[in-house]
Amino acid sequence: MSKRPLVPAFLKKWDDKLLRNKPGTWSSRTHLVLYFALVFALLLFAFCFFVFFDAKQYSHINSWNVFVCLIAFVGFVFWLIYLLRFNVFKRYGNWYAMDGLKDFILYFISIGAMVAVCFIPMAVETLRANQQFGNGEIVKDINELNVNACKLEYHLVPLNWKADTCRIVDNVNSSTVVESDEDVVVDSVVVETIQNAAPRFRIMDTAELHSKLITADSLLKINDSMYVFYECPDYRFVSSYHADEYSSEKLLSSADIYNRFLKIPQKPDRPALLKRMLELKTKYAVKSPYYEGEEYYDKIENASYDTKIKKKYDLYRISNGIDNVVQKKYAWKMAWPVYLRVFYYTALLLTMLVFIFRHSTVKTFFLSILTGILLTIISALMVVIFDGDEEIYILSFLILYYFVFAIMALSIFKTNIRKASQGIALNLFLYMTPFVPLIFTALNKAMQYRNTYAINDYGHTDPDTNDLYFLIAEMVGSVMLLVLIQPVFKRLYRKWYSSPEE
Amino acid sequence: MNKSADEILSFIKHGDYSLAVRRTLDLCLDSNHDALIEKAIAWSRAYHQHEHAESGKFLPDQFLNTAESILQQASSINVGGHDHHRHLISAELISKEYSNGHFSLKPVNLMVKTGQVLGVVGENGNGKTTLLRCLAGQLGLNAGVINYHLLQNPDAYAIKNHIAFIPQRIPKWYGMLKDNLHFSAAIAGINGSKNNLMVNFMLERLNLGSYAHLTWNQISSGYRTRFEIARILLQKPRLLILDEPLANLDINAQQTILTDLIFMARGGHNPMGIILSSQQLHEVEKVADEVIFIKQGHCIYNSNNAEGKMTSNAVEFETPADRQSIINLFGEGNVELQFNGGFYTIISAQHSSQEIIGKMIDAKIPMTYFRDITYSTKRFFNNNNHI
Repeated sequence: MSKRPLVPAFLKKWDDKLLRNKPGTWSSRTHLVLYFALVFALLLFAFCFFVFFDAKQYSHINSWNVFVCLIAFVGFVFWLIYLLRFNVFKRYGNWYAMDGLKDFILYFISIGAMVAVCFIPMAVETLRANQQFGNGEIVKDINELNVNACKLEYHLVPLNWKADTCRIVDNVNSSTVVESDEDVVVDSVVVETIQNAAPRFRIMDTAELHSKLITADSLLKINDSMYVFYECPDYRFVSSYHADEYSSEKLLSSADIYNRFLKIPQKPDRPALLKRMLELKTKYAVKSPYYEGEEYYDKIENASYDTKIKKKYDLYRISNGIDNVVQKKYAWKMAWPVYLRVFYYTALLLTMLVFIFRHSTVKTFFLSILTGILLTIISALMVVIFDGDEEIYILSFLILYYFVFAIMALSIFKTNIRKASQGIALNLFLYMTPFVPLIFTALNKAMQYRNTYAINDYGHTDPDTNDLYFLIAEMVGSVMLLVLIQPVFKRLYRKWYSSPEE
Repeated sequence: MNKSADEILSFIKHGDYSLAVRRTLDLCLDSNHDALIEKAIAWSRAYHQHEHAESGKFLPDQFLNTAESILQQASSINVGGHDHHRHLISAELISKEYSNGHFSLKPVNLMVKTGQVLGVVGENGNGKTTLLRCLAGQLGLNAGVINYHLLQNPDAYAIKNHIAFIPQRIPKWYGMLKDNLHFSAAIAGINGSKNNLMVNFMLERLNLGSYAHLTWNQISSGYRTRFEIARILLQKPRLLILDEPLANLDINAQQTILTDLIFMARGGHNPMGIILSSQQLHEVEKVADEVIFIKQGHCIYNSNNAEGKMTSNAVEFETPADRQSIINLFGEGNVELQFNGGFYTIISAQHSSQEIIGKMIDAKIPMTYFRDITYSTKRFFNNNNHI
C-alpha cells in the first residue's frame, strides 16, 4: 500500500484497489489529485475567508491569483513528474474500447481541479462581499448619502435646471456638420449649433430624440419639431456603476432627489443626519481614497458645490469603498463567461499537452512544440512580407497547416515505420482540432467584414449573433475532439507509437 | 505423486532446499489452484525466513511435512496439456541496415517454439542487439519477414503486447517496486485478488520478497535485472527476448535466473519461448536448445546445424605446463595449439575430445580447468579458429 503520509487510509485503500483492478484509472492519479485539490481548496477557502474580512477595502485579488496559480502550477508539475509515471499505453498493456476517451477525461478532471483552485480567492472575495453587504442595502445607502448631503447642504446645491432647445430633423446627412478630425461616431449625436441665432437651439435627429426622450429629466414639447429638454443639476455625489443592476431597489436620479427632497424643502434634523452620515462613512470609507484630489480642490477658492460637498463628508473615500464592494459582489455575475472560458481553455490546452505527452515519445513531444513555434514565426513573417489582411492571412495559414498535419497524421495508417515527422504532425493535428471550427468561423467573419468594409456598409453586424456563432464553434470544436479521440487519435497513436523505428 | 513431485522430494532429501522451493512453486502455479499457490507461497516465505534467521541449521520437520502435503495436493490436480512446441516466431532472411551505413545485419533465418530457448552469442558490436530489436519489433527491417505464429493479422501494438523485450540497460523504475509489479500484472488483465496472488508468487519465486517495498535506487543492478524479469513475466508474454540479462548478475544468480526462466518457459502456466543474448557462453549453451553466433552481422554458426559437421574437435584447458611439453605429447603437426594468455585450446581432427583429455591425464600434465568446446561457440571467439 502507498506510503504517502498525507493520504488518509481510505484513499490508500482505494488507490490500492484501483492499482489492482483499473490500472489506467490508477495511473492517471485523478483520485489523488482530486483529494489534494480538495484539501488545498478547503485550506485556501478558510484562509481567504478570514483574510477577506473587509469587503470595502481595495482588492488585492490579482496578487492572490498569481500566488495561487503558482502553487497550482507546482502541483501540476508534481503531478506530471511524480504521479504520471505509469503508462498503460507505453507498456503495451491490454487495450480496451474507450481507453483514449477515458484517459482524456481523467486528465481533464485532474487539471480542471488544479485550475479551479485558482478561482477560489475570487470566489471567496465575492462570497464575503455578499455576506457583508446586501444588494438592496448598498443602493439604499447610496441614496441616503446623496439625499442627506443635499438636505444638509441645501444652501449650496444649485436648484436651476439647464434647458436645451432642439429642433428635430428627419435626415441626418442634411444637417450634419462633422469635422474630419473629430472623434465622433457618424450615426450618433449630430451637432449643428447655430451660434448667432436667438433663441439658441440645436438640431437633433430622430435617433437622438429617441434616446433623449428616455433619458431627459424633463421636457417641453413646443410643437412636433421643437422640444425643450431640461437637465437637473447633479445631486448624485456618490454612485457606483452596476450598483443597482442586481437589486430591486434602484438608485435615485438627480431629478428624483430634486422632486422628492429639494423642490419643497423641509428643515432637516441636522444632528441626526450628521450622525447617519458618520455611520455611513464608517461603513463604507476606505482607508485612503483612490483619487488623491483633496489637495487640489483645497486650494481652489471657487470650487464647485460638488467638490465642496464631497470633501466635507469624505464622499471620495466612501465612493471608493462602495465601488470596491460592488466590484467584488458582482465580479462573478458580470464576468462569469470570461472566467468559464479561462478555466475551460486552460484546462483543455494543458489536458491536450498531457495527453500528447503520454502518447508520444519525449523527443517528438518537444519537437512538436518547436514546430508549433517555428510555424507561428514563419506565418507572421509571411504576413509581414505579403502585407496582406493580417487576420485572414493568419487564419488561412492555420487552416492550411491543419489539413497538412491531418494528411500527414492519417498517412500513419499506411506506413509500418515510426517516423518523427508523422508523430509531430499527429500531435499538432490533435492540438488544433478543437479550434478548427473557431478558426473557420473567425475566417468567415473576417471575410464578411472585409466585404462590408469594401462597400462601406457597417450596419448589419449583430454582436449577439456573432457571439452565438463563436459559442457554437467552440462547442462543436470540443465535441469534435471528444468524438475523434478514440476512433482516430488513439488508433493513430497506437499505430505510430508501437511501429518499429527506422 | 507425479514425476515432478518425486523429483522435488529428492531435492529436499538431498538438501537442495532452495531448488526444491522454486520447483514446488512452479508446480503449484501450473496447477492453477489459487489456494495451493497461496500455501506454497507461505511455505516459501517460511523457508526464506528460516534461511535468513538460522543459516546453516536444519529445517524443522514441519517444513518437510508441509512440503509433502503441498506436493501431494499438486500431484492430485490434473493439469491440462501444456502448450509446448508450438511455433512462436520465425524470421525469414531478415536483414537490417542503419541509415548511417555503419553497420548492417545480413540475412538471418531462425525459428523459436514454445518452451524453446535460443541463445544469440557474438562479440560486442557484431549485431546481437540489432537482431533482438528486430525480432522484438523495435527496429524496422530492410528485407525479410517475421511471422508471429500465434497472432492473426497483428498490428505493431499487438506484437509488442505479445513479446517482452528486456534491454541490456533497463530503464529506471519509479515508485515502489511492488507497485510496479502490481501495475504490470494489472495491465496484462490480472486483476483483484489474482493480482495480489501473482505478484506475491513472483516475489517468492525470484526471492525478491524482502526488496518489494524498496525503490529502484535502493537495490543493486543484479536485483534490478531480477525485478525487471519479474515484471515482464507478470505481463505473461509468449516470447521473452533478453539482451545480456546475465551481465549484472553474480555467478550463482546467473545460473539460478537461467534455470528459473527455463522452468517457467516450459511450465504449464504461461509457456513461452526465450531468445537471449549473452557473453556468458557456457551458461547460455547449457540451457539453450539452439545457439547462433553472429559475427560482423553474419550468422556464421547455428548449433542445430553443427552436429556432425565439425571437422575438428577442440578442448580448452588451463595448465601450468609449458607449450612444448603439450606439443610433444601429441606430436608435432598432429594438433593445433592456441594460447590466448589464459587458456590453451587444442584443436585436432584426429583425436576426439575425450582422447585429448585422456592423453593429458595419462601424461600427468597438471590441469586446473578443461572443457570440451567442440560444439561450443567459444571456438569462434579464438583468433584463426574455424569449424
